Amino acid sequence: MIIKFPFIKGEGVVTLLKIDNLSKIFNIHILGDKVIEGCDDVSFIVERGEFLGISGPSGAGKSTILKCIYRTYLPSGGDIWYDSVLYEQVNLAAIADHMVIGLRHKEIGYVSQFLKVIPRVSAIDIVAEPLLLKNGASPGEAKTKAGELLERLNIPQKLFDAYPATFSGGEQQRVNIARAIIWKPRLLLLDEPTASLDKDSTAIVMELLKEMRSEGTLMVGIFHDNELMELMADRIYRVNLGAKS
Amino acid sequence: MVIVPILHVKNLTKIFGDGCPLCPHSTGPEYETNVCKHCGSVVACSDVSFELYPGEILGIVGESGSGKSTVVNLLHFDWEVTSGEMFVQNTKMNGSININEKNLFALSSYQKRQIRNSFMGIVYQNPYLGLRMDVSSGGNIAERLIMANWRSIAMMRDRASELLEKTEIPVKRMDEPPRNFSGGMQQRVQIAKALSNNPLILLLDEVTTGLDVSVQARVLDLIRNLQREINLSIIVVSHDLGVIRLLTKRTIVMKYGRIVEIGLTDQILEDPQHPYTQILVSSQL
Ligand SMILES: Nc1ncnc2c1ncn2[C@@H]1O[C@H](COP(=O)(O)OP(=O)(O)OP(=O)(O)O)[C@@H](O)[C@H]1O
Ligand SMILES: [Mg+2]
Ligand SMILES: [Zn+2]
Repeated sequence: MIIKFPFIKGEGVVTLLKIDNLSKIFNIHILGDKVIEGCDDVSFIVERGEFLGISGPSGAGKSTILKCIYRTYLPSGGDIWYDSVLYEQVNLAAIADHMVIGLRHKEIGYVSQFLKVIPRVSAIDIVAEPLLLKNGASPGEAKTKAGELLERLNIPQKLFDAYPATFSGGEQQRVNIARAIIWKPRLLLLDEPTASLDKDSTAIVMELLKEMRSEGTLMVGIFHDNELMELMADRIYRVNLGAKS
Repeated sequence: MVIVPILHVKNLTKIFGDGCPLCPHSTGPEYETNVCKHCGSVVACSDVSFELYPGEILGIVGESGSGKSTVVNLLHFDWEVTSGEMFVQNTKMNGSININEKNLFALSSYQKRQIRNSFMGIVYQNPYLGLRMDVSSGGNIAERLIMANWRSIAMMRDRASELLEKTEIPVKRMDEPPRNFSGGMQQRVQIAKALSNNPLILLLDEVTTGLDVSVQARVLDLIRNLQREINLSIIVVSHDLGVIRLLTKRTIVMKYGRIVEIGLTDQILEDPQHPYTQILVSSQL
């Protein structure tokens, strides 16, 4: 696969994600066309193998940026250039929905603070599912790998076959992270993935994320804790409230 | 890499009544009605265009009377369209009849039946529409297989029991008529019947409406698993955003016969654009 992205900065440095003047405005018609600004004038690049942190005060629009990249929010302005394997260079702010589905299926992952529980599916199946559906693993292989990952995340074996709806917040979050990383997406968006985890679990998650980065996953993440952010991120993009008003 | 839709629907319109030139200009969300004030016709759906991609589950959501079931019935050739076109792109489909690049609504009724019997399956909201209540469940499935040109009784029996097993109906009840079954079981027999001809496109109209929550859950799980096992393209019609959220990746929102919004399901739920979608989403949560 030849990378045609135009932002090659010399030897080996390749920009895979380039955000230009991204803005998001919510127009709430049911509140009499109330306009809420989600984020404004956001520009940054992420290079191959990089972890970009996003920091800023509460309400500054950090999650909004991630949701625009994932297209859960429709950007109001600006471009999100991503150098995909599936479709080569695309503007995530503009491509058709079914192409976004293709990218989510094959290369872009998103992990938030909460597990979107799939009712009546056991923890191990929730984690094994992406391997089955995305990576074409055999059921046996997928289950083994899912078990290994859950084990690494200190989920007790007796919970593997239980429904996560009844798990503690921290356990649910570890299942959530396992599901998001097991298939090794090419671009991973993280919105406070460790917010409900204790110190030990956080350390394990950090280690897993570092491994993924060294294997080439591009990451853009928000962490609730500045220390973690400094530890993980190669660079930090700061959003502030001031720029919004 | 270009993904070709399996189904392409263009400007689908269905008017109940004589219709008049003013129908399109006096109905729809802006007019808050689907009844034409000039001629009294009901514009059940108008100018509905969308694509269905291979292996996807597409949702259609909207309040009662918005035209969801109309769309599904038109796609299944149950009703004549007033106007509009439908195209399929699939080599398997093109094998038997040459329908490539042809507007399916313009084919002969024989050809339409052939397409429906070989490539489509439908589950109606009302099981009385989809099943003959006095014929055994196995017989209901066999009828459909006969339409799809199956002939061997033994093979049809095997296929019926395989499908009933898949849809979690005890095979020993195969000779009982659906009349004896609960609502959830009837819907599962309908699903078994709809799947019997190995369709490429499955149309599900409010399959879980009116069922108990726990029964709903089993039917939804079944659909989710089926989609995963067989690479079906499915259109799921529901007024319940919970069902849409669980099953679909893309959603069409309809009101007064028009599409007001099409988007990724998570975008529809978290960043609805149209005022109506905003009301729909906020009243759900
Ligand atoms: N779906 C939405 N509809 C309307 N407004 C929204 C929506 N999502 C976010 N906003 C608004 O956009 C602004 C940015 O919110 P966002 O959640 O991105 O902030 P954040 O930086 O992640 O905050 P926190 O650190 O508190 O999580 C806020 O004013 C928020 O209320
Ligand atoms: Mg946030
Ligand atoms: Zn009229």
